Amino acid sequence: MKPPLVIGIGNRWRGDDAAGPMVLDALRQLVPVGIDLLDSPGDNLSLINAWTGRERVFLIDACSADDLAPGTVVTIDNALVDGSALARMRHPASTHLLDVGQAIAMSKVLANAPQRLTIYGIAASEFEAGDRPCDAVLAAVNTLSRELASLLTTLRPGATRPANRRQR
Amino acid sequence: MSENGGSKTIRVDYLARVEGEGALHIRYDNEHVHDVQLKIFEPPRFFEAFLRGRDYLEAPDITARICGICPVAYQMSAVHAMEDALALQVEPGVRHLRRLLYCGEWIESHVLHVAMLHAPDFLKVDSAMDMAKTHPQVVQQALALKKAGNAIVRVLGGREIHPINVRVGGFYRLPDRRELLELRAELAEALTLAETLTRWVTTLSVPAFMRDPAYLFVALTHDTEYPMNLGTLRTSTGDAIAASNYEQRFIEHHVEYSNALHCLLDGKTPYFVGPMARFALNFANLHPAARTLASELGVAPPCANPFASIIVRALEVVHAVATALDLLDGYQPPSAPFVTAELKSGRGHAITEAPRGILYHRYDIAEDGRITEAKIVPPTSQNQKTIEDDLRLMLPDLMDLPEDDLRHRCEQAIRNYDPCISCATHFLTLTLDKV
Repeated sequence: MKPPLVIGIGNRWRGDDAAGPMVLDALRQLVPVGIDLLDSPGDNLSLINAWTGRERVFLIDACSADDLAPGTVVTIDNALVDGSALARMRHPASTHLLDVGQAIAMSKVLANAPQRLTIYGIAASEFEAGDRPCDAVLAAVNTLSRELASLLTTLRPGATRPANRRQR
Repeated sequence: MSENGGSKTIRVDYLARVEGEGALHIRYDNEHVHDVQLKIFEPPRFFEAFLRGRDYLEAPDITARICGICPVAYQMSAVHAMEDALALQVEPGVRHLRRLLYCGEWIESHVLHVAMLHAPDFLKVDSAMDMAKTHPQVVQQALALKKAGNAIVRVLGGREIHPINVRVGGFYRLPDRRELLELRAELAEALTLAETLTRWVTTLSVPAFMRDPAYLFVALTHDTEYPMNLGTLRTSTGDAIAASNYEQRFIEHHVEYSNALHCLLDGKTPYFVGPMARFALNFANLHPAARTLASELGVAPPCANPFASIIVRALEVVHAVATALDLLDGYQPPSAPFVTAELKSGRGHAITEAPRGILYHRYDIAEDGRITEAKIVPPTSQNQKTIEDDLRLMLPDLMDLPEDDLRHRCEQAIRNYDPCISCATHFLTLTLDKV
């Protein structure tokens, strides 16, 4: 079985959308070896290849909803079982792209989905080019990074923190 | 489809698996096709205007944003045009890496189209998701193949989509030996996967249609290579056209119903760019692995059935994978990541082979390196008229088809060209009016 994988999705240069990659930045300092990190693959078809054969996968992305205050963390414990939130997502305009929900659906059809895929959506409000994330999103990034690092440590209890983690 | 008096209308609101915003309008009666219009109504994107006033070094990264599927093609045409303007010669190792990068993009783009966008047409299913249910192994193999292409672009370009490592004169950073060895390992299985995909594609039922009059193919040609970056532009009637003479021979004109300019040879003759043209004009230089497979499968140039383009595209995947392996095995690093030249004012032209066909760039730069003028002619714009002609020629034999089949065949015929109307949305409204 391949090691756990953490995927952070977002654009570092578009305000709150940086939440996913920023969690990965924090985890690089906090989590033990034996945890794979994947930063914004761009092509969500790559998600399918990346999580094939994994037991545990975690995905962090900014999300947007009118009824969520910025910085609110929405957790889908196992997106392979609970597809209700993903079903409400807007699909991408491009037929050359998949969204996360479509990638999950494709993986389920191909029977190569991970055993458990936990999604953390960090509610975002500002996506201006060049802006830094708002304080509420930064606080959520810090909190989620610590909690996730603790959880990942329990999944790889014997490993030590890497001096220099290579990014996939 | 609806009937209103003597007229008949078939309407498709969402044609998936085609890039960009467009519509198709066909007016016909029982005997004749009166009009075929491929309407591209997506707004102009003004990239050529964005480039004016920017530094010449920015052109590869700005133009790469035109397309998320073929950014490497835009980068390659941009750097070659700038190097032409500056009379800059790159080292052989740099050229080597550029070909390798282009192989990655061909693999990414072609596999996506062959296995996810075009194959569903032949299987009579609506999407890659449906295809995954009936042909999971094909989809899984395609994903693995695409991953190999992505890996090449990531290692050489810095990331899989919109690479950031291409520079006028070379690359910002050269891959190290360890990265290339890992890449070689990632590609180890890809050739077998590409050959398997090609064999599978030839089992699909290809609609019978032989183009008459024959296509006028236009592609780069090269003495020893199946062309990607370099070569002389040639037509299937024997014309050789220098990149610097492109705009004198290929005349763009506006048609009322499309925001993409139509391009005709000498202002009057439609032509066909892309895999079918490359295959027709460069078969002898196809990688032996692909050429042998083509012979075994009975595929020979010139191919006159556009529906067989899926086979040619798959053979180009075999070619790209095999070439990438050769390039990795024979790589000798250049002495420096890039070379520079003294700035001077000038004009540069370049044509490279994007996955969908020739991509022309021309730039004028001032003494300080500012771009004063830019012109870009993408492949889909050049194929528009030929797509319309295909439909006009094939429709008379299809009028007896059930309505859904007729509509589907029209969509499939458009997808033969893997058109990239833009990199944005993908709605194509198809209206057939029977008068």
